[in-house]
Amino acid sequence: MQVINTLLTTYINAHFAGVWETPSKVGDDLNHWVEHVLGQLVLDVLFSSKPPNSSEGVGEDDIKRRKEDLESWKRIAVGRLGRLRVGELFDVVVEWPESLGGVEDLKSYIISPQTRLHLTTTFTSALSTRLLHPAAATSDILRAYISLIRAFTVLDPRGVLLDRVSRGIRRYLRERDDTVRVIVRGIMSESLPDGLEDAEDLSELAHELGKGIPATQQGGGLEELDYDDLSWVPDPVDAGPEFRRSKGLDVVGSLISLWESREVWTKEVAAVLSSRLLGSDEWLFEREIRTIELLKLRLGETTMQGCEVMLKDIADSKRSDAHIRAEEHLEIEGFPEIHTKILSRLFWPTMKEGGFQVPLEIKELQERYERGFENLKKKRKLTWLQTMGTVEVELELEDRVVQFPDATTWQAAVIHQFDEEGLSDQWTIPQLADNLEMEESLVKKAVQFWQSRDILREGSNGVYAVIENLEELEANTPLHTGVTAAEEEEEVTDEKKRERMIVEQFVVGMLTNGGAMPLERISVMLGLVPGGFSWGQEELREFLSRMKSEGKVEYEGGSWRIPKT
Amino acid sequence: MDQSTETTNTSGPGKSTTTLNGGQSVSKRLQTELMQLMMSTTPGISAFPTDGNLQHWTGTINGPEGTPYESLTFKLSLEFPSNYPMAPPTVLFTTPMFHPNVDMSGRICLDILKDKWSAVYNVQSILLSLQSLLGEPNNKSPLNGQAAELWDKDPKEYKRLLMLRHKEAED
Repeated sequence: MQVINTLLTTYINAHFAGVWETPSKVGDDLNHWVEHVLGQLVLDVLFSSKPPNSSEGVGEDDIKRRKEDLESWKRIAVGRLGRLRVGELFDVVVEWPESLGGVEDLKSYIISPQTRLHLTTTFTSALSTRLLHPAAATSDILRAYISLIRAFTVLDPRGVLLDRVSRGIRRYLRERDDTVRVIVRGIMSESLPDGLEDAEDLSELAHELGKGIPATQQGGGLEELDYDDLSWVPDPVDAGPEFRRSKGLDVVGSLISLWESREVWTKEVAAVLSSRLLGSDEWLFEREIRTIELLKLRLGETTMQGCEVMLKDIADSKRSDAHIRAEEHLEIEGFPEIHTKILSRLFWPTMKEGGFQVPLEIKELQERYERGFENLKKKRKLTWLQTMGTVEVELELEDRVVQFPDATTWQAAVIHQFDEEGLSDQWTIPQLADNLEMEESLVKKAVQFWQSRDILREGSNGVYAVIENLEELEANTPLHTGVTAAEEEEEVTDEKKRERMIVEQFVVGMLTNGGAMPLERISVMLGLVPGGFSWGQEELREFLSRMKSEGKVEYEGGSWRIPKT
Repeated sequence: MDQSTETTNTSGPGKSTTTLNGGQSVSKRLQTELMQLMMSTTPGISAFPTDGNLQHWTGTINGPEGTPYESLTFKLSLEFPSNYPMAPPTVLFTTPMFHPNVDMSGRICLDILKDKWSAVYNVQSILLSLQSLLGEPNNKSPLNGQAAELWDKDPKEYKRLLMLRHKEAED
């Protein structure tokens, strides 16, 4: 017996580890092997010890016993194979769908509660040691979870095992700050600009969403038993107390149900949608309308109301734009064309308000447009978001004509300054900022943009001028590359600025009311900042030191506090 | 009370249905309030959740100028019930207080914290009301009779007793 045991295990491990082809021949192979090779071997060994002359007398008993033995060996073999596959299950899931065969093998193993329990415990611990740790990227975890859903739906269509093993991973995903962001970007990947790194990551989710909700799930709550369903069977005995009846394969549904609240999704969806709607000069957004309609099925009409309004805004803008342009005779020879998208402020994500002085001719057009709008919609006011939008820029230089079909408004305004008649053609960043009433950081960004496109060049003392001849540039190149790199480092994005402002307010608020606190405690309490707090302790320490140098906090005995007045 | 805070709370029509499930909407509301309070920075009042627990806050108010409470700071504790803002928070002075409408254990008699409470009020309006209560006590229904009597009669003695009682909360 000992020998058979070792033989079986060695054979299975040697031949079937990592063999996951589908349709799986492993089961048949194994049966065949047990019956013919192992069985034969045993036969040879056992009967060779008997005297040869009694070979005719192999009784019926012997044959029967041999059959029973064979059956039990087969059972043992299936068990061994199952154990092997359970051990491999994590890799099987990761390799999905190439590993379908591995899952098929497991099906014949998980027929008793013990084996099912063995599978879930082994797999759960493999998950937590191999996947659920800080070093794994959220998109990788999500991808593994998606494969897991698919693999376990094949393995156990009733969903009990899936329900059990996914609890840990779901709990973990809920704790990650960027889970929502990654999922939404996956679902809406069609709407993201190409070439973004994470656009590809989970773009399969967009397909999944397109599949719609599996029919079995609709209306299939626990409460609503379908009495006409003749194939109804009770919940499996090993189902957990919160087990919900099988939902069929529904990846998007599983992800969306990570959070009870539907509202967590709206903000991110709105952000992606808004950047898509405003990021181009198109008017038709069929893909987006489709995505939002599909999401509505998932998240409910009320939740997606904001996005609905956003889409409607764009559609309305198209009509009102044509109307206003006709009414106000905005088609003027020699003037740039102007089109607007009119947004209902309440329903869109917060936009950057800080404006700047647009060139005079644009200003005039805007004023006429505004008049047109106020005639069209009484009692409503149009506020321009000067920093949003795109401009088609064509620059005529001495030796070349360059076109930028998608420049931003602020980039256009900055380069326009160099062209303004009667003004200097040499500017420093503070001068530009003054003249345009634009934030310096934005001016800097615009200048860097033009510099990188070989339109502007930095002279001495931070004075910028237009490069009229490219030859001129070649003579001067070596200088500016190093400078821009250094400048980029200190450049602070607006988002970051806002974040810092919020953190500062929270720190002041918490220290005023809670008294002195050590860094660690401050860091924990900052978790209350809406949207989460993701700074490292070093970043926070540096930030507090800066606040200290501004006299807003002081540091004593390991704790930070508000200075006494 | 405060226009700007109200408009954001009621954004969008048809939203009232979402406030049904208790715990979540309380913390959501409190989180919004915290954000508003942090961003508005009204001088002299401030509050922040204690120990990261959203339903228990510590508040700080500075005594208004031109009152006996000038240049003193007072700490409060605010405890929000799970049906907030349907019911008012429980507010106590944790700094020892000498005031006609505050008793010796810091309990406060203020109508908007009792029967006049309305869901329109928020942390900011509570703190502002308390700040103005310091300068304008309601002496008709005092919790502290001695204080009510001295308020008009003997401001000097009032201030002396106040200072005797007042101890800045040590960090």
